Amino acid sequence: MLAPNALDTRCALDTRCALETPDGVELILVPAGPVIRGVAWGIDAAIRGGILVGLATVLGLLEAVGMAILLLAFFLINWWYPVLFEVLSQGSTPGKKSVGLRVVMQDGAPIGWSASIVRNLLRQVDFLPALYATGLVSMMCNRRFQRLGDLAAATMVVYQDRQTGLGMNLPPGESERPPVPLRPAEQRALLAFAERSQGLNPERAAELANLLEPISGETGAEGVEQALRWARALRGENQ
Amino acid sequence: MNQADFIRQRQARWDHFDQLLRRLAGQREKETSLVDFPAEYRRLCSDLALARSRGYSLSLIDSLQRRVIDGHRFLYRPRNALGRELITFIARDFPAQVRQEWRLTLWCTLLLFGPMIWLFAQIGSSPEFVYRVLSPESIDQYEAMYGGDEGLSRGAGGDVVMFAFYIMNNIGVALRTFAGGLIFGLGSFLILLFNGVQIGAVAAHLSFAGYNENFWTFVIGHGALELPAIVLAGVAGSRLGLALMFPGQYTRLASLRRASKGAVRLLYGVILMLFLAAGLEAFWSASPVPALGKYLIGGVLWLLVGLYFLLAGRRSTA
Repeated sequence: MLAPNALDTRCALDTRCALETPDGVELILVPAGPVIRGVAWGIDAAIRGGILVGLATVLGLLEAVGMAILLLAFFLINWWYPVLFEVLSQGSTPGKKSVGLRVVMQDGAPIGWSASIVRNLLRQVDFLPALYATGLVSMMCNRRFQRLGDLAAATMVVYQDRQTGLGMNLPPGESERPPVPLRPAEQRALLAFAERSQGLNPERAAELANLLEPISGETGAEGVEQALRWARALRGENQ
Repeated sequence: MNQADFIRQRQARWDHFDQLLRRLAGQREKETSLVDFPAEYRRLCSDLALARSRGYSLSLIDSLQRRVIDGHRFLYRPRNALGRELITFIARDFPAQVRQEWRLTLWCTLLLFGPMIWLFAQIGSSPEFVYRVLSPESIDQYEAMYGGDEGLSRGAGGDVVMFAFYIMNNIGVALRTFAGGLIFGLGSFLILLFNGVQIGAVAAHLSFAGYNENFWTFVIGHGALELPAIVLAGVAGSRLGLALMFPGQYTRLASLRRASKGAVRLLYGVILMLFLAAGLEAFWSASPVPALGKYLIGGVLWLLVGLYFLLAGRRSTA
Protein backbone atom coordinates (compact mmCIF):
# COMPACT_ATOMS: atom_id res chain seq x y z
CA MET A 1 0.00 0.00 0.00
CA LEU A 2 1.84 3.01 -1.25
CA ALA A 3 -0.59 5.89 -0.97
CA PRO A 4 0.35 7.81 2.16
CA ASN A 5 -3.25 8.61 2.92
CA ALA A 6 -5.63 5.71 2.60
CA LEU A 7 -8.60 8.05 2.29
CA ASP A 8 -7.39 9.64 -0.92
CA THR A 9 -7.80 6.53 -3.02
CA ARG A 10 -11.19 7.15 -4.52
CA CYS A 11 -9.79 9.43 -7.17
CA ALA A 12 -6.49 7.58 -7.52
CA LEU A 13 -5.24 5.92 -10.67
CA ASP A 14 -5.05 2.45 -9.17
CA THR A 15 -7.94 0.03 -8.91
CA ARG A 16 -8.53 0.04 -5.18
CA CYS A 17 -12.05 0.90 -4.20
CA ALA A 18 -13.09 2.37 -0.90
CA LEU A 19 -16.46 1.54 0.53
CA GLU A 20 -18.04 3.05 3.55
CA THR A 21 -19.50 0.66 6.07
CA PRO A 22 -22.64 1.43 8.09
CA ASP A 23 -20.29 1.96 11.02
CA GLY A 24 -18.76 4.99 9.38
CA VAL A 25 -15.32 3.75 8.45
CA GLU A 26 -13.98 3.20 4.97
CA LEU A 27 -12.66 -0.16 3.90
CA ILE A 28 -10.28 -0.56 1.01
CA LEU A 29 -10.87 -3.54 -1.26
CA VAL A 30 -8.57 -4.44 -4.13
CA PRO A 31 -10.43 -5.95 -7.12
CA ALA A 32 -8.63 -8.71 -8.99
CA GLY A 33 -7.98 -8.43 -12.70
CA PRO A 34 -8.50 -10.91 -15.52
CA VAL A 35 -5.09 -12.59 -15.47
CA ILE A 36 -5.07 -13.76 -11.86
CA ARG A 37 -8.71 -14.76 -12.18
CA GLY A 38 -7.84 -16.75 -15.27
CA VAL A 39 -5.19 -18.58 -13.27
CA ALA A 40 -7.71 -19.34 -10.51
CA TRP A 41 -10.18 -20.59 -13.11
CA GLY A 42 -7.51 -22.83 -14.64
CA ILE A 43 -6.71 -24.38 -11.25
CA ASP A 44 -10.40 -24.95 -10.61
CA ALA A 45 -10.84 -26.52 -14.04
CA ALA A 46 -7.96 -28.89 -13.33
CA ILE A 47 -9.47 -29.84 -9.96
CA ARG A 48 -12.90 -30.42 -11.46
CA GLY A 49 -11.48 -32.49 -14.30
CA GLY A 50 -9.37 -34.49 -11.85
CA ILE A 51 -12.34 -35.27 -9.60
CA LEU A 52 -14.44 -36.41 -12.55
CA VAL A 53 -11.72 -38.65 -13.98
CA GLY A 54 -11.09 -40.11 -10.53
CA LEU A 55 -14.79 -40.75 -9.92
CA ALA A 56 -15.24 -42.25 -13.38
CA THR A 57 -12.50 -44.80 -12.80
CA VAL A 58 -13.74 -45.78 -9.33
CA LEU A 59 -17.46 -45.73 -10.09
CA GLY A 60 -16.95 -47.51 -13.38
CA LEU A 61 -16.47 -50.66 -11.28
CA LEU A 62 -19.99 -50.41 -9.86
CA GLU A 63 -22.58 -50.85 -12.55
CA ALA A 64 -25.93 -49.07 -12.61
CA VAL A 65 -25.58 -47.34 -9.24
CA GLY A 66 -22.09 -46.16 -10.10
CA MET A 67 -23.39 -44.74 -13.34
CA ALA A 68 -26.15 -42.88 -11.51
CA ILE A 69 -23.74 -41.41 -8.97
CA LEU A 70 -21.40 -40.41 -11.77
CA LEU A 71 -24.15 -38.57 -13.62
CA LEU A 72 -25.16 -36.73 -10.46
CA ALA A 73 -21.54 -35.90 -9.70
CA PHE A 74 -21.12 -34.57 -13.21
CA PHE A 75 -24.18 -32.39 -12.75
CA LEU A 76 -22.98 -31.11 -9.39
CA ILE A 77 -19.45 -30.37 -10.52
CA ASN A 78 -20.47 -28.88 -13.81
CA TRP A 79 -23.10 -26.47 -12.46
CA TRP A 80 -22.74 -26.16 -8.71
CA TYR A 81 -19.04 -26.42 -7.88
CA PRO A 82 -18.41 -22.66 -7.86
CA VAL A 83 -21.73 -21.86 -6.15
CA LEU A 84 -21.24 -24.32 -3.32
CA PHE A 85 -17.68 -23.26 -2.64
CA GLU A 86 -18.39 -19.55 -2.84
CA VAL A 87 -21.29 -19.69 -0.42
CA LEU A 88 -20.02 -22.31 2.00
CA SER A 89 -16.31 -21.57 1.97
CA GLN A 90 -16.19 -17.81 2.57
CA GLY A 91 -16.30 -16.72 -1.02
CA SER A 92 -13.51 -18.73 -2.57
CA THR A 93 -13.31 -21.86 -4.65
CA PRO A 94 -10.11 -23.88 -4.13
CA GLY A 95 -8.60 -22.21 -7.20
CA LYS A 96 -9.39 -18.73 -5.93
CA LYS A 97 -8.15 -19.58 -2.47
CA SER A 98 -4.84 -20.83 -3.78
CA VAL A 99 -4.13 -17.52 -5.52
CA GLY A 100 -5.60 -15.45 -2.69
CA LEU A 101 -8.88 -14.28 -4.21
CA ARG A 102 -12.35 -14.04 -2.74
CA VAL A 103 -15.81 -13.16 -4.07
CA VAL A 104 -17.70 -10.54 -2.07
CA MET A 105 -20.80 -8.45 -2.62
CA GLN A 106 -20.08 -4.96 -3.88
CA ASP A 107 -20.78 -3.62 -0.39
CA GLY A 108 -18.16 -5.92 1.09
CA ALA A 109 -20.65 -8.36 2.62
CA PRO A 110 -20.19 -12.09 2.09
CA ILE A 111 -21.84 -13.56 -0.99
CA GLY A 112 -25.18 -15.37 -0.58
CA TRP A 113 -26.93 -18.10 -2.57
CA SER A 114 -28.86 -15.91 -5.00
CA ALA A 115 -25.93 -13.73 -5.95
CA SER A 116 -23.64 -16.72 -6.36
CA ILE A 117 -26.14 -18.57 -8.54
CA VAL A 118 -26.63 -15.53 -10.77
CA ARG A 119 -22.94 -14.84 -11.22
CA ASN A 120 -22.09 -18.47 -11.91
CA LEU A 121 -24.93 -19.22 -14.30
CA LEU A 122 -24.24 -16.09 -16.31
CA ARG A 123 -20.67 -17.39 -16.59
CA GLN A 124 -21.90 -19.07 -19.77
CA VAL A 125 -22.71 -15.75 -21.38
CA ASP A 126 -19.38 -14.32 -20.25
CA PHE A 127 -17.65 -17.28 -21.86
CA LEU A 128 -19.09 -16.48 -25.30
CA PRO A 129 -17.92 -16.59 -28.04
CA ALA A 130 -14.83 -18.32 -26.63
CA LEU A 131 -12.64 -18.23 -23.54
CA TYR A 132 -14.48 -15.51 -21.63
CA ALA A 133 -14.15 -12.92 -24.41
CA THR A 134 -17.39 -11.22 -23.39
CA GLY A 135 -16.39 -11.28 -19.74
CA LEU A 136 -13.03 -9.74 -20.58
CA VAL A 137 -14.60 -6.86 -22.47
CA SER A 138 -17.00 -6.31 -19.60
CA MET A 139 -14.12 -6.33 -17.07
CA MET A 140 -12.30 -3.68 -19.07
CA CYS A 141 -15.35 -1.42 -19.01
CA ASN A 142 -15.68 -0.86 -15.28
CA ARG A 143 -13.49 0.01 -12.35
CA ARG A 144 -14.09 -3.17 -10.42
CA PHE A 145 -13.18 -5.75 -13.10
CA GLN A 146 -16.72 -7.12 -13.07
CA ARG A 147 -17.80 -9.53 -15.77
CA LEU A 148 -21.47 -9.59 -16.77
CA GLY A 149 -22.33 -12.13 -14.11
CA ASP A 150 -20.74 -9.93 -11.45
CA LEU A 151 -22.60 -6.89 -12.71
CA ALA A 152 -25.95 -8.67 -12.56
CA ALA A 153 -25.28 -10.12 -9.11
CA ALA A 154 -23.57 -6.98 -7.73
CA THR A 155 -20.51 -8.99 -6.72
CA MET A 156 -16.80 -8.53 -7.27
CA VAL A 157 -13.65 -10.61 -6.94
CA VAL A 158 -11.12 -9.09 -4.55
CA TYR A 159 -7.74 -9.97 -3.16
CA GLN A 160 -7.94 -11.61 0.21
CA ASP A 161 -6.56 -9.45 2.97
CA ARG A 162 -3.03 -10.65 3.25
CA GLN A 163 -0.39 -9.92 5.82
CA THR A 164 1.42 -7.07 4.11
CA GLY A 165 4.79 -8.16 5.47
CA LEU A 166 5.16 -4.89 7.33
CA GLY A 167 6.35 -5.46 10.86
CA MET A 168 4.37 -3.69 13.52
CA ASN A 169 7.61 -3.07 15.36
CA LEU A 170 10.72 -1.25 14.30
CA PRO A 171 14.06 -2.73 15.33
CA PRO A 172 14.80 -1.45 18.85
CA GLY A 173 17.10 1.52 19.16
CA GLU A 174 17.31 5.15 20.14
CA SER A 175 14.74 7.72 19.18
CA GLU A 176 15.25 11.32 18.29
CA ARG A 177 12.86 14.13 17.31
CA PRO A 178 13.15 15.25 13.67
CA PRO A 179 15.09 18.53 13.41
CA VAL A 180 12.29 20.25 11.47
CA PRO A 181 8.52 20.05 12.04
CA LEU A 182 6.95 17.59 9.57
CA ARG A 183 3.53 17.89 7.97
CA PRO A 184 1.15 14.89 8.51
CA ALA A 185 1.75 13.49 5.01
CA GLU A 186 5.51 13.73 5.55
CA GLN A 187 5.22 11.98 8.91
CA ARG A 188 3.27 9.19 7.29
CA ALA A 189 5.84 8.84 4.50
CA LEU A 190 8.64 8.64 7.06
CA LEU A 191 6.78 6.01 9.12
CA ALA A 192 6.00 4.01 6.01
CA PHE A 193 9.64 4.09 4.96
CA ALA A 194 10.83 3.02 8.40
CA GLU A 195 8.50 0.02 8.43
CA ARG A 196 9.26 -0.94 4.87
CA SER A 197 12.99 -0.55 5.24
CA GLN A 198 13.16 -3.92 6.98
CA GLY A 199 11.81 -5.66 3.89
CA LEU A 200 13.97 -3.74 1.40
CA ASN A 201 17.51 -4.74 0.59
CA PRO A 202 20.07 -2.46 2.28
CA GLU A 203 21.17 -0.74 -0.94
CA ARG A 204 17.64 0.24 -1.89
CA ALA A 205 16.89 1.41 1.66
CA ALA A 206 20.04 3.53 1.61
CA GLU A 207 19.14 4.97 -1.76
CA LEU A 208 15.75 6.07 -0.43
CA ALA A 209 17.25 7.42 2.79
CA ASN A 210 19.69 9.50 0.73
CA LEU A 211 16.72 11.64 -0.30
CA LEU A 212 16.67 12.87 3.30
CA GLU A 213 20.29 14.02 3.20
CA PRO A 214 19.44 17.75 3.16
CA ILE A 215 17.98 17.47 6.68
CA SER A 216 19.78 14.42 8.06
CA GLY A 217 23.22 15.19 6.72
CA GLU A 218 23.86 11.46 6.48
CA THR A 219 23.99 9.03 3.56
CA GLY A 220 23.98 5.26 3.19
CA ALA A 221 23.34 2.98 6.17
CA GLU A 222 23.78 5.89 8.56
CA GLY A 223 20.99 7.74 6.79
CA VAL A 224 18.68 4.76 7.24
CA GLU A 225 19.53 4.63 10.94
CA GLN A 226 18.78 8.33 11.30
CA ALA A 227 15.38 7.91 9.58
CA LEU A 228 14.58 5.02 11.94
CA ARG A 229 15.41 7.16 14.98
CA TRP A 230 13.01 9.85 13.80
CA ALA A 231 10.33 7.27 13.08
CA ARG A 232 10.66 5.87 16.61
CA ALA A 233 10.11 9.34 17.97
CA LEU A 234 7.03 9.82 15.79
CA ARG A 235 5.63 6.52 17.04
CA GLY A 236 6.31 7.63 20.58
CA GLU A 237 8.72 4.84 21.45
CA ASN A 238 11.45 5.07 24.14
CA GLN A 239 10.19 8.26 25.68
CA MET B 1 -1.63 10.71 22.13
CA ASN B 2 1.28 9.10 20.38
CA GLN B 3 1.11 5.82 18.56
CA ALA B 4 2.88 3.70 21.15
CA ASP B 5 0.45 4.74 23.90
CA PHE B 6 -2.47 4.22 21.55
CA ILE B 7 -1.39 0.65 20.89
CA ARG B 8 -0.56 -0.04 24.53
CA GLN B 9 -4.03 1.05 25.65
CA ARG B 10 -5.90 -1.01 23.11
CA GLN B 11 -3.78 -4.07 22.37
CA ALA B 12 -5.66 -6.28 24.85
CA ARG B 13 -8.99 -5.36 23.30
CA TRP B 14 -7.72 -6.07 19.80
CA ASP B 15 -6.44 -9.47 20.88
CA HIS B 16 -9.84 -10.19 22.40
CA PHE B 17 -11.45 -9.21 19.09
CA ASP B 18 -9.16 -11.59 17.20
CA GLN B 19 -10.30 -14.33 19.54
CA LEU B 20 -13.95 -13.53 18.86
CA LEU B 21 -13.26 -13.68 15.12
CA ARG B 22 -11.64 -17.07 15.44
CA ARG B 23 -14.60 -18.37 17.42
CA LEU B 24 -17.03 -16.95 14.86
CA ALA B 25 -15.15 -18.67 12.07
CA GLY B 26 -15.29 -21.95 13.97
CA GLN B 27 -19.00 -21.54 14.80
CA ARG B 28 -18.66 -24.11 17.55
CA GLU B 29 -19.51 -21.86 20.47
CA LYS B 30 -23.03 -21.00 21.51
CA GLU B 31 -24.10 -17.59 20.28
CA THR B 32 -24.34 -16.28 23.82
CA SER B 33 -20.59 -16.19 24.20
CA LEU B 34 -20.43 -13.79 21.28
CA VAL B 35 -22.90 -11.15 22.46
CA ASP B 36 -20.24 -8.48 22.78
CA PHE B 37 -19.05 -8.93 19.21
CA PRO B 38 -21.02 -6.04 17.62
CA ALA B 39 -19.94 -3.62 20.34
CA GLU B 40 -16.31 -4.71 20.06
CA TYR B 41 -16.51 -4.38 16.29
CA ARG B 42 -17.78 -0.80 16.49
CA ARG B 43 -15.10 0.16 18.97
CA LEU B 44 -12.57 -1.23 16.53
CA CYS B 45 -14.10 0.89 13.77
CA SER B 46 -13.61 4.00 15.83
CA ASP B 47 -10.02 2.94 16.58
CA LEU B 48 -9.41 2.64 12.85
CA ALA B 49 -10.93 6.04 12.15
CA LEU B 50 -8.81 7.59 14.93
CA ALA B 51 -5.63 5.94 13.70
CA ARG B 52 -6.26 7.25 10.21
CA SER B 53 -7.07 10.79 11.20
CA ARG B 54 -4.08 11.00 13.52
CA GLY B 55 -1.77 9.73 10.83
CA TYR B 56 -0.46 6.66 12.65
CA SER B 57 1.76 4.33 10.69
CA LEU B 58 0.56 2.19 7.83
CA SER B 59 1.27 -1.13 9.50
CA LEU B 60 -1.06 -0.21 12.35
CA ILE B 61 -3.77 1.05 10.02
CA ASP B 62 -3.47 -2.06 7.86
CA SER B 63 -3.73 -4.41 10.79
CA LEU B 64 -6.79 -2.57 12.10
CA GLN B 65 -8.36 -2.50 8.67
CA ARG B 66 -7.80 -6.24 8.28
CA ARG B 67 -9.66 -6.82 11.53
CA VAL B 68 -12.51 -4.51 10.49
CA ILE B 69 -12.90 -6.27 7.13
CA ASP B 70 -13.08 -9.65 8.84
CA GLY B 71 -15.58 -8.37 11.38
CA HIS B 72 -17.65 -6.69 8.68
CA ARG B 73 -17.87 -10.02 6.92
CA PHE B 74 -19.45 -11.67 9.94
CA LEU B 75 -21.65 -8.83 11.16
CA TYR B 76 -23.27 -8.22 7.78
CA ARG B 77 -23.50 -11.75 6.47
CA PRO B 78 -26.80 -12.75 4.85
CA ARG B 79 -29.06 -14.96 6.92
CA ASN B 80 -30.09 -18.19 5.26
CA ALA B 81 -33.27 -19.42 6.93
CA LEU B 82 -33.85 -21.95 4.22
CA GLY B 83 -36.51 -24.24 5.74
CA ARG B 84 -39.36 -21.87 6.53
CA GLU B 85 -38.71 -19.68 3.55
CA LEU B 86 -39.02 -22.70 1.29
CA ILE B 87 -42.59 -23.39 2.41
CA THR B 88 -43.86 -19.84 1.89
CA PHE B 89 -41.98 -19.79 -1.40
CA ILE B 90 -43.78 -22.87 -2.70
CA ALA B 91 -47.16 -22.01 -1.22
CA ARG B 92 -47.27 -18.35 -2.13
CA ASP B 93 -44.34 -16.52 -3.66
CA PHE B 94 -43.52 -18.73 -6.63
CA PRO B 95 -47.01 -18.93 -8.20
CA ALA B 96 -47.62 -15.27 -7.39
CA GLN B 97 -44.46 -14.30 -9.19
CA VAL B 98 -45.40 -16.39 -12.20
CA ARG B 99 -48.79 -14.64 -12.34
CA GLN B 100 -47.05 -11.32 -12.09
CA GLU B 101 -45.05 -12.26 -15.20
CA TRP B 102 -48.12 -13.56 -17.03
CA ARG B 103 -47.46 -11.74 -20.30
CA LEU B 104 -43.96 -13.07 -20.62
CA THR B 105 -45.13 -16.51 -19.48
CA LEU B 106 -47.77 -16.54 -22.17
CA TRP B 107 -45.24 -15.50 -24.80
CA CYS B 108 -42.74 -18.18 -23.75
CA THR B 109 -45.52 -20.80 -23.65
CA LEU B 110 -46.38 -19.84 -27.19
CA LEU B 111 -42.74 -20.20 -28.25
CA LEU B 112 -42.56 -23.72 -26.85
CA PHE B 113 -46.03 -25.02 -27.74
CA GLY B 114 -46.61 -23.05 -30.95
CA PRO B 115 -44.12 -25.11 -33.00
CA MET B 116 -45.58 -28.30 -31.54
CA ILE B 117 -49.09 -27.47 -32.73
CA TRP B 118 -47.81 -26.36 -36.12
CA LEU B 119 -45.79 -29.56 -36.55
CA PHE B 120 -48.76 -31.70 -35.58
CA ALA B 121 -50.78 -30.04 -38.35
CA GLN B 122 -47.94 -30.36 -40.88
CA ILE B 123 -46.96 -33.95 -40.12
CA GLY B 124 -50.61 -34.96 -39.82
CA SER B 125 -51.26 -33.86 -43.40
CA SER B 126 -47.90 -34.92 -44.87
CA PRO B 127 -45.91 -37.42 -42.76
CA GLU B 128 -42.69 -36.94 -44.78
CA PHE B 129 -42.42 -33.43 -43.38
CA VAL B 130 -40.72 -34.88 -40.29
CA TYR B 131 -37.57 -35.51 -42.36
CA ARG B 132 -37.14 -31.78 -42.78
CA VAL B 133 -36.83 -31.41 -39.03
CA LEU B 134 -35.19 -34.61 -37.79
CA SER B 135 -32.49 -36.75 -39.33
CA PRO B 136 -33.50 -40.30 -40.37
CA GLU B 137 -31.06 -41.75 -37.78
CA SER B 138 -32.62 -39.92 -34.87
CA ILE B 139 -36.09 -40.92 -36.05
CA ASP B 140 -34.97 -44.55 -36.05
CA GLN B 141 -33.66 -44.06 -32.55
CA TYR B 142 -36.91 -42.63 -31.25
CA GLU B 143 -38.89 -45.39 -32.96
CA ALA B 144 -36.69 -48.01 -31.34
CA MET B 145 -37.12 -46.29 -27.95
CA TYR B 146 -40.91 -46.22 -28.05
CA GLY B 147 -41.43 -49.34 -30.15
CA GLY B 148 -41.56 -52.88 -28.78
CA ASP B 149 -44.47 -54.51 -27.01
CA GLU B 150 -43.09 -54.30 -23.49
CA GLY B 151 -43.02 -50.49 -23.72
CA LEU B 152 -40.32 -48.70 -21.82
CA SER B 153 -40.03 -50.72 -18.64
CA ARG B 154 -36.54 -51.08 -17.21
CA GLY B 155 -34.99 -52.74 -14.21
CA ALA B 156 -34.79 -50.87 -10.90
CA GLY B 157 -31.11 -50.07 -11.50
CA GLY B 158 -32.06 -48.54 -14.82
CA ASP B 159 -34.59 -46.31 -13.09
CA VAL B 160 -31.94 -44.83 -10.83
CA VAL B 161 -29.60 -44.18 -13.73
CA MET B 162 -32.34 -42.49 -15.68
CA PHE B 163 -33.28 -40.36 -12.65
CA ALA B 164 -29.73 -39.06 -12.48
CA PHE B 165 -29.63 -38.59 -16.22
CA TYR B 166 -32.89 -36.61 -16.30
CA ILE B 167 -31.72 -34.35 -13.48
CA MET B 168 -28.45 -33.64 -15.22
CA ASN B 169 -29.94 -33.18 -18.67
CA ASN B 170 -33.15 -31.31 -17.91
CA ILE B 171 -31.83 -28.94 -15.29
CA GLY B 172 -28.88 -28.33 -17.58
CA VAL B 173 -31.29 -27.34 -20.37
CA ALA B 174 -33.21 -25.09 -17.97
CA LEU B 175 -30.08 -23.37 -16.68
CA ARG B 176 -28.85 -22.81 -20.22
CA THR B 177 -32.23 -21.40 -21.20
CA PHE B 178 -31.94 -19.02 -18.26
CA ALA B 179 -28.37 -17.88 -18.99
CA GLY B 180 -29.11 -17.40 -22.69
CA GLY B 181 -31.71 -14.82 -21.74
CA LEU B 182 -29.07 -12.25 -20.91
CA ILE B 183 -28.40 -11.89 -24.65
CA PHE B 184 -31.41 -9.57 -24.98
CA GLY B 185 -33.77 -12.48 -24.36
CA LEU B 186 -32.79 -14.06 -27.67
CA GLY B 187 -30.98 -17.05 -26.18
CA SER B 188 -34.00 -18.07 -24.11
CA PHE B 189 -36.41 -17.56 -26.99
CA LEU B 190 -34.29 -19.57 -29.42
CA ILE B 191 -33.80 -22.46 -27.00
CA LEU B 192 -37.56 -22.55 -26.35
CA LEU B 193 -38.32 -22.53 -30.09
CA PHE B 194 -35.72 -25.19 -30.77
CA ASN B 195 -37.10 -27.44 -28.05
CA GLY B 196 -40.63 -26.82 -29.29
CA VAL B 197 -39.70 -27.90 -32.81
CA GLN B 198 -37.73 -30.92 -31.60
CA ILE B 199 -40.37 -32.19 -29.19
CA GLY B 200 -43.20 -31.38 -31.58
CA ALA B 201 -41.61 -33.26 -34.46
CA VAL B 202 -40.91 -36.35 -32.35
CA ALA B 203 -44.36 -36.33 -30.76
CA ALA B 204 -46.20 -35.81 -34.03
CA HIS B 205 -44.18 -38.43 -35.89
CA LEU B 206 -44.58 -41.06 -33.20
CA SER B 207 -48.31 -40.35 -32.85
CA PHE B 208 -49.02 -40.70 -36.56
CA ALA B 209 -46.63 -43.61 -37.08
CA GLY B 210 -48.51 -45.84 -34.66
CA TYR B 211 -46.46 -45.54 -31.50
CA ASN B 212 -48.90 -43.23 -29.84
CA GLU B 213 -49.85 -45.33 -26.82
CA ASN B 214 -46.26 -46.06 -25.75
CA PHE B 215 -45.26 -42.45 -26.33
CA TRP B 216 -48.15 -40.64 -24.69
CA THR B 217 -48.38 -42.90 -21.66
CA PHE B 218 -44.71 -42.21 -21.11
CA VAL B 219 -44.66 -38.44 -21.44
CA ILE B 220 -48.01 -37.30 -20.11
CA GLY B 221 -47.11 -37.56 -16.42
CA HIS B 222 -43.78 -35.84 -16.09
CA GLY B 223 -44.52 -33.51 -18.99
CA ALA B 224 -46.94 -31.67 -16.72
CA LEU B 225 -43.99 -30.45 -14.67
CA GLU B 226 -41.17 -30.53 -17.19
CA LEU B 227 -42.61 -28.42 -19.99
CA PRO B 228 -43.91 -25.59 -17.75
CA ALA B 229 -40.54 -25.61 -15.96
CA ILE B 230 -38.68 -25.03 -19.22
CA VAL B 231 -41.14 -22.26 -20.11
CA LEU B 232 -40.49 -20.59 -16.74
CA ALA B 233 -36.74 -20.90 -17.16
CA GLY B 234 -37.25 -18.99 -20.40
CA VAL B 235 -39.33 -16.39 -18.58
CA ALA B 236 -36.64 -15.91 -15.94
CA GLY B 237 -33.87 -15.64 -18.52
CA SER B 238 -35.62 -13.30 -20.91
CA ARG B 239 -36.58 -11.10 -17.97
CA LEU B 240 -32.85 -10.34 -17.67
CA GLY B 241 -32.50 -9.51 -21.34
CA LEU B 242 -35.63 -7.35 -21.34
CA ALA B 243 -34.43 -5.50 -18.24
CA LEU B 244 -31.27 -4.62 -20.17
CA MET B 245 -33.15 -3.48 -23.25
CA PHE B 246 -36.01 -1.63 -21.55
CA PRO B 247 -34.67 -0.29 -18.26
CA GLY B 248 -37.49 2.22 -17.77
CA GLN B 249 -36.55 4.76 -15.14
CA TYR B 250 -33.50 2.87 -13.93
CA THR B 251 -30.02 2.78 -15.35
CA ARG B 252 -29.46 -0.36 -17.37
CA LEU B 253 -27.24 -1.80 -14.67
CA ALA B 254 -29.68 -1.12 -11.85
CA SER B 255 -32.50 -2.52 -13.93
CA LEU B 256 -30.52 -5.71 -14.62
CA ARG B 257 -29.78 -6.14 -10.92
CA ARG B 258 -33.40 -5.67 -9.95
CA ALA B 259 -34.51 -8.18 -12.55
CA SER B 260 -31.90 -10.75 -11.61
CA LYS B 261 -33.19 -10.88 -8.04
CA GLY B 262 -36.65 -11.88 -9.23
CA ALA B 263 -35.32 -14.11 -12.00
CA VAL B 264 -33.20 -16.21 -9.68
CA ARG B 265 -36.25 -16.79 -7.46
CA LEU B 266 -38.15 -18.09 -10.47
CA LEU B 267 -35.18 -20.29 -11.19
CA TYR B 268 -35.39 -21.87 -7.73
CA GLY B 269 -38.95 -22.87 -8.54
CA VAL B 270 -37.89 -24.23 -11.91
CA ILE B 271 -35.21 -26.39 -10.33
CA LEU B 272 -37.67 -27.79 -7.77
CA MET B 273 -40.15 -28.61 -10.54
CA LEU B 274 -37.48 -30.34 -12.58
CA PHE B 275 -36.39 -32.47 -9.63
CA LEU B 276 -40.00 -33.62 -9.24
CA ALA B 277 -40.28 -34.16 -12.99
CA ALA B 278 -37.10 -36.23 -13.07
CA GLY B 279 -38.45 -38.40 -10.24
CA LEU B 280 -41.71 -38.96 -12.10
CA GLU B 281 -39.96 -39.59 -15.40
CA ALA B 282 -37.65 -42.18 -13.92
CA PHE B 283 -39.89 -44.05 -11.50
CA TRP B 284 -43.45 -43.54 -12.79
CA SER B 285 -43.49 -42.85 -16.51
CA ALA B 286 -41.94 -46.16 -17.50
CA SER B 287 -43.72 -48.27 -14.88
CA PRO B 288 -46.06 -51.01 -16.15
CA VAL B 289 -49.28 -49.26 -15.07
CA PRO B 290 -52.20 -49.72 -17.54
CA ALA B 291 -52.55 -46.95 -20.10
CA LEU B 292 -55.84 -45.70 -18.70
CA GLY B 293 -54.30 -45.16 -15.26
CA LYS B 294 -51.41 -43.21 -16.74
CA TYR B 295 -53.68 -40.96 -18.76
CA LEU B 296 -55.84 -40.37 -15.70
CA ILE B 297 -52.98 -39.53 -13.36
CA GLY B 298 -51.23 -37.52 -16.08
CA GLY B 299 -54.38 -35.51 -16.73
CA VAL B 300 -54.80 -34.84 -13.02
CA LEU B 301 -51.19 -33.66 -12.82
CA TRP B 302 -51.66 -31.19 -15.67
CA LEU B 303 -54.81 -29.93 -13.98
CA LEU B 304 -53.04 -29.54 -10.63
CA VAL B 305 -50.11 -27.69 -12.13
CA GLY B 306 -52.50 -25.36 -13.94
CA LEU B 307 -54.55 -24.73 -10.80
CA TYR B 308 -51.41 -24.23 -8.75
CA PHE B 309 -50.15 -21.42 -10.94
CA LEU B 310 -53.59 -19.88 -11.31
CA LEU B 311 -54.81 -20.02 -7.73
CA ALA B 312 -52.10 -20.80 -5.17
CA GLY B 313 -51.13 -18.01 -2.82
CA ARG B 314 -53.83 -15.58 -3.87
CA ARG B 315 -55.09 -15.05 -0.35
CA SER B 316 -52.79 -12.81 1.63
CA THR B 317 -51.36 -14.59 4.64
CA ALA B 318 -49.86 -11.53 6.20
